[in-house]
Amino acid sequence: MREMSAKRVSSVARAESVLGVENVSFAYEDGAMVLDNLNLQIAAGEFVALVGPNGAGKSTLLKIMLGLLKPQQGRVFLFGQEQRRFKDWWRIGYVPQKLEQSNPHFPATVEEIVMLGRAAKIGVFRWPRQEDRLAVTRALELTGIENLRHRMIGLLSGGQQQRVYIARALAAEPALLMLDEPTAGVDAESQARFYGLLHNLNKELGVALVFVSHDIGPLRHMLDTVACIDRSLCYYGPPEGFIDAPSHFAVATANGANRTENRA
Amino acid sequence: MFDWLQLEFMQRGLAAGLLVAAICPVIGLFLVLRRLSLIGDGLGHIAFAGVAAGFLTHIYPLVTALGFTVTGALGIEWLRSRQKAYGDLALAIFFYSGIAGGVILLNLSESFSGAQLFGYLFGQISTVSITDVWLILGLGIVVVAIVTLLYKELFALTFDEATARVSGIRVSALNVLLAVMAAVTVSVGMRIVGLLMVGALMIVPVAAALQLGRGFKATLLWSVLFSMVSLVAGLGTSYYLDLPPGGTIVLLAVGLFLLTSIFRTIVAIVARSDAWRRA
Repeated sequence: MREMSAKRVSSVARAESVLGVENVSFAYEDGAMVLDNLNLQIAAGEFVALVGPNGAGKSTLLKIMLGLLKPQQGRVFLFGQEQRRFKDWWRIGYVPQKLEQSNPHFPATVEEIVMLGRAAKIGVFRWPRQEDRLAVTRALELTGIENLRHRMIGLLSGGQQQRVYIARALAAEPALLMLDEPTAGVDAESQARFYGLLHNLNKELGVALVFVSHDIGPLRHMLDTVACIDRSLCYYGPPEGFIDAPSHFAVATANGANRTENRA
Repeated sequence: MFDWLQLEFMQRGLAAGLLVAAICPVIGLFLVLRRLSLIGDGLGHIAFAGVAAGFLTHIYPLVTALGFTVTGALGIEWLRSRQKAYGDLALAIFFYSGIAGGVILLNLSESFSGAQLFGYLFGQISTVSITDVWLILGLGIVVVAIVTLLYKELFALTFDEATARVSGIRVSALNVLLAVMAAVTVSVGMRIVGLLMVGALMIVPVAAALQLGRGFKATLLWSVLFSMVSLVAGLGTSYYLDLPPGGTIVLLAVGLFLLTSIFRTIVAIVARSDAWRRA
């Protein structure tokens, strides 16, 4: 079992790199070092979980990868191109943590929100065309929310909203999907369906996934790689090896459990 | 009933007013949804200093107001993007500087009448000149064109700034553009409803449209419709009842807001009793 997945990872590693992080260090203004000389490569079609204790820099790393934060040191490559020269942002889908939009009365339909995911692909100064409307329909079908198309975003449940944000990220048919703790505050049934969706995206459409999470338990059998972040890379390899290293796993799950308790 | 439309000054006022009524809520929607509802009002305060500077320098006050509000809007946007804490405090300081500076500039200049000043404060649609119409038309068309061309980018920015940034939208440039468009809107709107009430035309029709609970584009179009209805009805009413047009237009917009709020409450009550009956 372990040998098999090790082989799978090595074949993935040879494929085209969709995301490269090289010697990245980041400190906040108060001087606290969050990331220290971090290196990470993600290949096309790879499913990677970014785990680590609270405040270990997972979300910071994700923001650096997406260009929302600038590292003091190091470089980020997207599809082989240096980030600041990168133009094809539609190739990357981003699913933020829930409640990015905190106004429950925001006037927008599900369809309108999902169409926003096509903005970069449509191009500036242009309006959506037939192919864009078809892509939105496909994204809605893929996430199973075709029936919610004309509903107002603020009136949906947490699990439904999460699927809207995934549909938005998928609307441009990206090759890389980045998810920032997307299951926080979502009920168990929706979570299960959500993991199934991720599995399909990864295995059938070949979308590379970067998943920031406290708890990789339910994902274990789908992942190619676990990258544990605690200022620097504290584990990198197949999920089986990560689970075999009890100290890392204990840290990650203990924090995951804490969080759940806090919420309840 | 429509004989007031025969009058040439009313035609000019209506032409300029309709364009102002169209762009005010369009810019207002983006501001309201980003919780910047009072920026229009604040820019009106800064326009006051601009008008006073116009009186002092004998430059057309609409032009000086434009200069002041654009500069002010850029300053506000710069502060907004830099510091998070006490953001509204920084804005308030800007606005009071506008009023204080305006009073001093007025005191220095002697070449204006009280009626003129009153017209800029509360609107003076009857004195809209053909130059005003062209100026408002030109600026209004630019604003409409920009919003049409950048509709999805402005919508994305308003919905969720981080995701907009990740999808390659140049968020800071767009923020600056929005601030400048707000300044232009305030300056041209000032001519119609006055610098003290232009902020109202930017947000009250939006508030009314939001009560309908529709999508983004629908809300945008409804707010423009409410604004235009208020303008036409306000102009007509003010002519027949001899009321100041600026105040009449704004109060009619508030009336529409009250109507849509009542409509929304009734819809909610009906839906709830329906669900209750079924349960």
